[in-house]
Amino acid sequence: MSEPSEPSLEPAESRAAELLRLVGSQTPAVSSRFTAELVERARRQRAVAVPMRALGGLVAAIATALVGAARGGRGPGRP
Amino acid sequence: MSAHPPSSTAQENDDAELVARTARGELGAFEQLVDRHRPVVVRVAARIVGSDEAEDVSQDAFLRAFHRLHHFRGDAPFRSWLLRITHNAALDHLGRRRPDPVDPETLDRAEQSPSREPADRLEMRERIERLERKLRGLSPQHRTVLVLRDAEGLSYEEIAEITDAPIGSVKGRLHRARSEFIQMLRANTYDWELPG
Repeated sequence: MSEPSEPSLEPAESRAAELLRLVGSQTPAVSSRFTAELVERARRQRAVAVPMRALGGLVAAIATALVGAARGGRGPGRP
Repeated sequence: MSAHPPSSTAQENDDAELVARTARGELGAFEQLVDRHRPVVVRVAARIVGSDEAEDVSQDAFLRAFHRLHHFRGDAPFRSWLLRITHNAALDHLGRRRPDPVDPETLDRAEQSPSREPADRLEMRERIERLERKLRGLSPQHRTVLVLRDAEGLSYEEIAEITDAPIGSVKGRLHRARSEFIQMLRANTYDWELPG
């Protein structure tokens, strides 16, 4: 990734950036179960989302078919 | 300026493979993606919403990413895509909660910690907490660009991708955010060793 040139910083801006790097050096602690809980939530949500998505697809397909049938049933419209 | 974390092609390839495996249903691959990107996601979330709520926002961001993986096209690094989701999750979180009462007069009154940490570590922690309180005095937009650029060392391009803004806007926002941050640092008695 090419980096656009950084305009030269004022001394105060450089100092501020230095202080912010200090902030960036610290990662807040999270629960030791962070990843395990997240993966479990993902597993549970997927168990619901996949059938729901399939059901949504089925409903959409039925709706499309019904609209098509209704249009076909009306025969050719007036020009 | 800090050395920017490299957008390592090897890491991007690994990410792409893990994303593909996750999309095929391998939760173990998702777990690896989470472990790999958790630190940066938590840091960015923490600097936008505060450390106390960073874990919830990070979980929300990863879950959003999990459900939207089929939208990831791979034309930008996975980290940028994930941080964009994190940024949006953090802003949504801020939108749902009442704004912090940020009083510039009280920004510098650190709570006195009864901790018995070694003095230098304690001093460093207090400095960082003071800086985080200052950051919370900025608007979320200004806070975000400062954190992504100066704290995380991301490129302008990556920040533009994450914040969904043109690079020119990112640079302008960053300039204003730095000026505002410097004014806030100068507006109190703590010596931040800022040149005049």
